[in-house]
Amino acid sequence: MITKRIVLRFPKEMVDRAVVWRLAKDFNLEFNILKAEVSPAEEGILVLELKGKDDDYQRGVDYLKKSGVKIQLLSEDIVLDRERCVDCGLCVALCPTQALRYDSGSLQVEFFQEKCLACGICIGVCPYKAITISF
Amino acid sequence: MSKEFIRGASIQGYGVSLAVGIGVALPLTDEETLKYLLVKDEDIYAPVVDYAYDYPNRREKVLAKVSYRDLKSGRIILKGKEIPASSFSSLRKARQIMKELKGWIKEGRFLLTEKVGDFPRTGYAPRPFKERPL
Repeated sequence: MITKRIVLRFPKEMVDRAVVWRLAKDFNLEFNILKAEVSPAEEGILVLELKGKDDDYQRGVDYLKKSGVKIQLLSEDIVLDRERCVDCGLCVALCPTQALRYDSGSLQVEFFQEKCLACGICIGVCPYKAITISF
Repeated sequence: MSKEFIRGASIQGYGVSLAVGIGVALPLTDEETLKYLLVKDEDIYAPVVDYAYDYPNRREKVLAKVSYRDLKSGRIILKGKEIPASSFSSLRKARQIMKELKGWIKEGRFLLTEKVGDFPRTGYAPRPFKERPL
């Protein structure tokens, strides 16, 4: 069993097609939609957590790619720039999943990728623009 | 001037700001000074102010007073509700500045200068902010 967070990009000619439901039906994958930005005639972005057997996951991802969806692993997308971060901790209270935590020993803000839902609240709130996200 | 200690900042819902880290050397010369230096987080209280309504309307209403110890725990209780709390200044940077200054003092590189002048004692008056009618 594996759990992976992936970013799906749908080209604009695809946004009216139902695709994701097949992941559950044909590939036995459990999906959790973390973020969705889909509007007609524009590129759509979907952030999914997929859970299932290794080969089912691989087949599911292959199916998506074949359908014309571009896929990236979510972990590549969110970056806390340690050079810019001063560890003020403003983002910590606002993070809904405690992916950003304050370590009172090291006095540093720590980022736990596996907890991050990519909601983006921290990005706007960081006064130093130390957190960036790209899908 | 190093970007380690001075940074442009943008505060959501507020605007452009500048984050400045300053270190001040406090000469510990008597017991009275020591008394002030021994103040702990649980003895320092901060007011809780409604920034959405009271503050922009110049209402000096303080909803509660909470200690730094409670604020640093990440949660405060306000009117029976648990509210997340976080810092806005960098304790790490503060410690870094402290160590830097301590180093200068130990090496004899931190020297005091003669005073430049006195603040004027007469000839100025505070100018209260005039409220414009809505």
